[in-house]
Amino acid sequence: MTELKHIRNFCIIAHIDHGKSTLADRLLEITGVMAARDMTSQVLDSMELERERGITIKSKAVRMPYTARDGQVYELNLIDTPGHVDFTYEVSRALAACEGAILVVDATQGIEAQTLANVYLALDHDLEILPVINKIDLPSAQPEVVRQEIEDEIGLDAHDCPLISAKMGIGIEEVLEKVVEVVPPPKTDGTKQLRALIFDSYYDNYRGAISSVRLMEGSVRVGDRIRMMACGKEFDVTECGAFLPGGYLPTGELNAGDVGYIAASIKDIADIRVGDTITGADDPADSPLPGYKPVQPMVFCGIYPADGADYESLKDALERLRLNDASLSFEPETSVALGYGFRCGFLGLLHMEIIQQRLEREFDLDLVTTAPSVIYHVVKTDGTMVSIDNPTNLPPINEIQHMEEPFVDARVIAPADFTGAIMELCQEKRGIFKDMKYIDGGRVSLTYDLPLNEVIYDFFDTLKSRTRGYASFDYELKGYVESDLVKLDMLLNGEACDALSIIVHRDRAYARGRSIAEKLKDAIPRQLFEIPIQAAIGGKIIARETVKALRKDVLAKCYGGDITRKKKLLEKQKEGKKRMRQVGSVQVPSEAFMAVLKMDT
Amino acid sequence: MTSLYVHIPFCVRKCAYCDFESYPDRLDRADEYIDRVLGEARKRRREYGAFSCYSMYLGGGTPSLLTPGQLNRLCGELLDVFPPEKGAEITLEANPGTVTAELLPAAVRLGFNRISIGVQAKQDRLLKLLGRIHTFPEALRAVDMARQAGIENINCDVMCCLPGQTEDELAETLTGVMEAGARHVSCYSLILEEGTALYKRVRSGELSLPDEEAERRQLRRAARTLESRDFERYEISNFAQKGYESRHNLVYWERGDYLGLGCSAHSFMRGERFDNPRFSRYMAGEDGLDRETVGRGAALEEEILLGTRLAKGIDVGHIRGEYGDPAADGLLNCAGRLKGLVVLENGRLKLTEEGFFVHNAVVLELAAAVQETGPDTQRRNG
Repeated sequence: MTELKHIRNFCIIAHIDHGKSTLADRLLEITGVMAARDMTSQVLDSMELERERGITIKSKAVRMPYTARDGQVYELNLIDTPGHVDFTYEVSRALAACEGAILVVDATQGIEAQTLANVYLALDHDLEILPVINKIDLPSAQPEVVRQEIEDEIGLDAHDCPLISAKMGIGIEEVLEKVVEVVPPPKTDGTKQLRALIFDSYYDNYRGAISSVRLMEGSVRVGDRIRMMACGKEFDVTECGAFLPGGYLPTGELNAGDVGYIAASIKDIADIRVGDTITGADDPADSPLPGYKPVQPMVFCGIYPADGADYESLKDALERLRLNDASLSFEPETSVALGYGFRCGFLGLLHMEIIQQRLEREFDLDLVTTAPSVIYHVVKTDGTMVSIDNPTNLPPINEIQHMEEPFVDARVIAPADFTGAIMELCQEKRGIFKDMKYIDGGRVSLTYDLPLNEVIYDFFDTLKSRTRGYASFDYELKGYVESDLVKLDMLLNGEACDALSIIVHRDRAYARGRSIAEKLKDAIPRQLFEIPIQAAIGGKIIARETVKALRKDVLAKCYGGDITRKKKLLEKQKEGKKRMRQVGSVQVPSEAFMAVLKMDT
Repeated sequence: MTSLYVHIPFCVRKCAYCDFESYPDRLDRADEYIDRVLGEARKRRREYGAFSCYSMYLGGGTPSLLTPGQLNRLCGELLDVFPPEKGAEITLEANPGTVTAELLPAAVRLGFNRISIGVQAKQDRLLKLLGRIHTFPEALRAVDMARQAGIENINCDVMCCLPGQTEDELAETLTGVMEAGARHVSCYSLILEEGTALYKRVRSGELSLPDEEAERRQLRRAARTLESRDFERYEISNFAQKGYESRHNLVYWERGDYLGLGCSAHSFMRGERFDNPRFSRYMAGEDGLDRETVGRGAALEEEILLGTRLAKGIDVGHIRGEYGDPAADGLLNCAGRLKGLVVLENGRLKLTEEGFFVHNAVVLELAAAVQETGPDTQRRNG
């Protein structure tokens, strides 16, 4: 059992691409936890998608023994955190398990929106922050400028912060020494009752649902009966120990200050809630650790199988994904246009995109997704309030007193040249200007209140393109604001198509309606009859396009009795038709539903 | 009732639009090829037993390229193996550039009573574009030679929707062949087949095809021109004077049995479809490949695909009897939705002229309508 004073629990925080995962790899390598030859790049990012996109989706932890220059052996627990705003809650829980954080800043980019957001989070948890300037090997590195930025913008003392290149392996030992020196050892008040913070959970086929925990007080051993304080369920510990990269090191017990895992034959991942406190069932703690809140999905969309026959496969796939991602929520829904599918809730747009991609890649499913929606608050004339995440469920207009939409507190950092472009974009997106600050000679930090439904639409893509990729962006939910919202319906041949309805601000409705109608006109192939496409608010048509009727469509002649060839052509077309959805009398290809999602107006 | 198709894969020059199997440089192997075809014919007779032939079509390629002696040896023996029924229609496909005064009488002596002449167009400019080896006067001369040889039943193939072709030019071609004595006209839109010379020229942007509306105008003009001289449109692309409808072609549309002999020939025998391979493999002894037994579902689809090409359409009573009520009712329901494109007359479902323009899309609708009823699981009562 390692003495508390020799334990250091820390995490690494950084803006995306600033080199967090590479630094983690080097730490594992230098502490000998993983030999260089065994390492694939980004060891902690084990999911294929994580590596490919260079992002960390799930947080993970690993124990590293390190003999410091003072001759003492330290147990360093590195907790990897997701870097994206969608996963703020998970980041926050991971931070709560640590006493310190390495803040990685790119020597060529300097401070970015997420850098600040993560620093604020870390400060909220009273973490000791150890700034590190990375990528000093690059010709465009400006470590001194960045050092000044860290001091001026964040107010951290950076005079002796390590200048490193995680990629080249420069300065890594210096970082470890600093961790030992700066990050305080875990403190415990000496109480006996077990209190372990769950900062992550995932599903293992052999061990069941596993909790990643940080023990704050007390200890836990194999055979102990434990209780989840938020949900009240009890389990018997079957295994506990420390983490190795990609594996487990069973130790039989965990003590206050330790970071490790607990397995207790838990079948349902939902019984382990990130942020919950584990205590002993026989001698429970009086109160849980602070900070548990159920994860609230912010973005919703309908996910349907492109081929209705794949409904069960989609259901299985979603269940499998939820085993490792408790923040994914879904429930069955039906759409007149799309048939049977699921209403899925996500932490944010990236989370949504990742889930869609995993469904398609790992489960080989063809999907149709509907336009993402946020949760609207609808205050009815009878004074009650309902939350709506699907435009279809909006109460009749005469029952609506008013509607409210969620706003976020958004921060954009970019070279000052783009200030005008960014302000213009935020204005277009109904943003409310809050603050503007110059970070250094070249950059500006802009703060806006933005409606979330504009953010999830195409804000980030447009921001990137208008700033040639230079802007960074971060946001957090602020609250609900009354807003003039309307339901925009799309009518195909006079019939409303539920899967195409969206809730939108009245001022934007005309432009969106026109744009969707145009997209649909291109996406819907010509059919035997003319198809009017209309955008409508209530009963009022605000835009119209027409798909003209097919005029000529004759297959090649049947020469010499070659029927087979003709049948094959027909077969191919039938396959294409199978991928179409019947909306009233109109055949709508799956792509048409997606076409509506991506737009640049 | 079984028909014969015989493929002759030789020609003088490959036409710019042609993707059928045909070689301008292998005529020296014609005798060897004839032996092979006769061998295949005897093999099929052993397989299916003796049968008489309801019709025979010697197509290609350019069958008229064979010498009278070769034609004699091939058809003499074929018609010996599969003797023609009384009234059998026996057609020789001919390229006007190859018809000789010797060949036609020889053909008539063998029993040929119909000729199909590839006229294609009247205008030299278009004939050149198509890579044809003959002029329009030569084509008319071939028609004349056929009549002199005693062949009354003459078809002329005419193409429309060619790059740069006008409606008037098409009408002139049609009028020309009718005046020369054609009894039957096959009028096909140009279909660009991948890999052909014309395909490449259109793809590269050098030539452009008429747009949809122009195509419709041409097809309509063709129909009016032909109908004005009592040529009736009995099939989507085929027009004939009364009594001159092609018996052989109707076998294809009505799902009769036919045996295809020679390379790249297709057969439908006793409920089974199969194909022959291309020349080299065929000469090496392979034939009758890709055998597919047409099940009930597929058969119903074929009925729709093929029956809708005919002016007389599909007999819904026959569908009801063969495939059950849901299939027949599916068709009727769908026909109700396709107003203006499909009509029901005397228990038959047929396409209107508008429907013919979009034949393919209509077939897809009808096929989907019977598919929903699950033709494969339906069993006839009793």
